[in-house]
Amino acid sequence: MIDKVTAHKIMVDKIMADKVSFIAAIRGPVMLIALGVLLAMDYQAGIRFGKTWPILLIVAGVLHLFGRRGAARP
Amino acid sequence: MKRSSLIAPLLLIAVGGLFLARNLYPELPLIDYVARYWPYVLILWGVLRIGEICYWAGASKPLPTRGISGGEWLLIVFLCVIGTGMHIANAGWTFYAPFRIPWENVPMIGEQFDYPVNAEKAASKTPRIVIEDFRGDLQITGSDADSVKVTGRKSVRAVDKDRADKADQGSNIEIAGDANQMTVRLHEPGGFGPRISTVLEMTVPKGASLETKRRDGDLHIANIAGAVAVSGRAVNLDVRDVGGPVEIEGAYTGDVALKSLAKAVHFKSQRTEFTAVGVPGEIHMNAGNFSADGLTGPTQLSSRSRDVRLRDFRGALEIDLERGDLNLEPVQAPLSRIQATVRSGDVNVALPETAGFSIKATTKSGEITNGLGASFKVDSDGRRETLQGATGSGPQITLPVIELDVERGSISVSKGSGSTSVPGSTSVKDTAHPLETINQ
Repeated sequence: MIDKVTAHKIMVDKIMADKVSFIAAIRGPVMLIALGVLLAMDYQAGIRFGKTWPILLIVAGVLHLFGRRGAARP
Repeated sequence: MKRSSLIAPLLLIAVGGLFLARNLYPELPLIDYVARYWPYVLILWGVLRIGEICYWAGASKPLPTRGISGGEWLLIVFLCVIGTGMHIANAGWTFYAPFRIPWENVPMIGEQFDYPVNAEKAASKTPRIVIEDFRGDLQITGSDADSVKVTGRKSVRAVDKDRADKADQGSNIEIAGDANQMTVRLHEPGGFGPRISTVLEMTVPKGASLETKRRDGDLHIANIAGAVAVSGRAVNLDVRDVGGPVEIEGAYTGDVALKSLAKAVHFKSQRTEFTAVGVPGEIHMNAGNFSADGLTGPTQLSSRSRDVRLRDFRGALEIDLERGDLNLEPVQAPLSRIQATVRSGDVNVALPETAGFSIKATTKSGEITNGLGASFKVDSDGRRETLQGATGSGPQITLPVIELDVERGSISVSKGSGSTSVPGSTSVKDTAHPLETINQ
């Protein structure tokens, strides 16, 4: 028999694991959308991709940070 | 339960739909659309995948460890390379100009069969003529005759002569309308018929006004007293000796030449917009250059990436250049207001010896070469340099103002335009006959 505290812990772990895997799963598509938006901005609004590409690094960093924070929490 | 994605079938449907549309409606500029809007495919792809992941999470299906698989990234890289290539080819960038894709020369299946074209219709002295878009080269010349005459040849690309003959019979040049309002069009068999292109010469009454839309090929217009409006795509464009206003909007992958245009001119392409009150001299444009000699202003020019040379312009001038060098050589005094903003590029200005003016030139990152004399002062504040001053000792408010604002690049201002070159300025000598070097 699992006591209530252990059951709660397992449930929280599962939710956190789901959250982490969800963030990991959407990382690629979010990067893809960011890439598409920057290229579209270059073509339509004249804001050069050569200037805006570091945003991709920032987006990748932020996604990574969220994944880690979710994983690090008890 | 296995996850299944919608994206692969949707991509297939989209590619199939594009090819089908190209076959059924050859007049649609699909390459343009794809070159311009392909990044939205990436956005749509990402949004769809996030939607799918949310759905899978909601349905308690196992989530993928990677939202986009290695194979998909490979496809995306492939798409980016093709999309960027098409965009560059479409926009005719300077840097890539030698590698521009000659879409018009891509070999097609079948061989070419030629048929003569002859059509003529009586017209008034000042008809309005609309020329609908069809493939090929077109030369329109004004003459003293009171008729619209079309001669030339029609080329049909087909697998055998029978099919080419059928396509020839099914397509003909028509001059519709009455003597005052005419439409010239090529009837083309729709659907999956052979591809037809033309090389036509058209003579129209000199007093005519023209409106023409092009899909490809070269367009030459000469000796027209009325208004001229050109739109669409072409390789080379040559418009000369026009008495009425000229309005040009479209994409030109080759050279654009404008000469002896008596009234207002408005040119607009994806990267460049230009207006002037008249072009008594000439303008030449190609993928990387804009050269003008003899302009009546007020003139406005904005461009994303071109080296710009303006010589002998009268009236106010306003220039906004994103990338490229700017050479200005107003030959005649008195000057009018000159305002130039350049984001990245060098600016060379050669002013007439006798001109009176006040100047304020600033570069945020670069050097200023002062060829104007001691009454003009260069201030340096770290990377930023400013040149200020005015000629003579009279009230400065009456003097025309020259304002040069450069973000990244050097500025050189000198006196004595024309053939005399000024030490420290390399531009003047080059701009003396800039137009002769450009091929027509």
